[in-house]
Amino acid sequence: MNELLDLLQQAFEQLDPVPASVYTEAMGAFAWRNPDAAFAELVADAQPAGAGLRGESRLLSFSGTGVGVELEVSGHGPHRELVGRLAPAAPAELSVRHRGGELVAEVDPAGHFLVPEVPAGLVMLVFRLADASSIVTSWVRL
Amino acid sequence: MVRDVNVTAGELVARAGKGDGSAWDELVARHTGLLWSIARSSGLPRAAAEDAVQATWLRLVQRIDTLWEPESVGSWLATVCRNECHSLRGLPLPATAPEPADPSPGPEDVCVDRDRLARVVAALQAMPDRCRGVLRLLAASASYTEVSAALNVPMGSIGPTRARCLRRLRGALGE
Repeated sequence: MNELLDLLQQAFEQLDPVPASVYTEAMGAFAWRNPDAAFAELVADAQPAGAGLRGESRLLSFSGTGVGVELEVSGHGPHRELVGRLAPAAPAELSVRHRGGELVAEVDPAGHFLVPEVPAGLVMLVFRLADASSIVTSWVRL
Repeated sequence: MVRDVNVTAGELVARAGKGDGSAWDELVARHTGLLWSIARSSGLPRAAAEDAVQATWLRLVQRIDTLWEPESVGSWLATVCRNECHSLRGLPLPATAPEPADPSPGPEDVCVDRDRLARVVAALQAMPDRCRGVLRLLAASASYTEVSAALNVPMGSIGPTRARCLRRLRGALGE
């Protein structure tokens, strides 16, 4: 049985090896760790049929202890436009992280923000507030 | 990196939760093969499978401090990965590079019976997806709870399915 198991492992390595980049990206994911941030989890995802194609937007809500983020996602193809609001309203520096890097935007004192040209795919938001605290959302696929 | 196979998954999760990057790397080394197996046996092409596996690790980074059962992190990862694969299957696929040709054999392969390995590869290619998926998870050293989480099937069905697929493989090898 062990001999067959070894053979199976080698057979799959030959048929379909795990790309080395999968390991390096997974190890790199640890750099995103931010244990001191408040965590806002995705709690609602309203996606009208054909959202993006007919000009309709997808509405996402994130919620955590004492914080919330509303996000409207529009556009299709390779990029999305994000329009959102942070609650409670506060000015902040926003980083939109995606698999290829991050985009930076400002959140105005009313909590509003706009980020054009976000690459489609996995995305998360990090808000840095004036008091040096931060809020992160869970990863979502846009 | 010095790998310590005796450290439990729960300890690695606890250490990574405190910021120990080498514990994280060890979690990646232990479980990435399983996640790749899940993503590929779910039918995703390689580029989408990479995305699903990475999404799974990104989610663990956010949850590492709050896992209910750190010792069962493998099953947790398997479940998350299955869900990621499910949400990716309906999406239009990004432009993908062509599937690479079979890699040439490395030096570590020299001592194995090439002929027998070739027959195992051929037998796997000829198998139904379901069986190939089960054997792939077996080869990735998945536990029954991890297979159950990966395939969303009851634990009791795994042993019989696995035995049937192994019989099929042995039959194809003429054993």
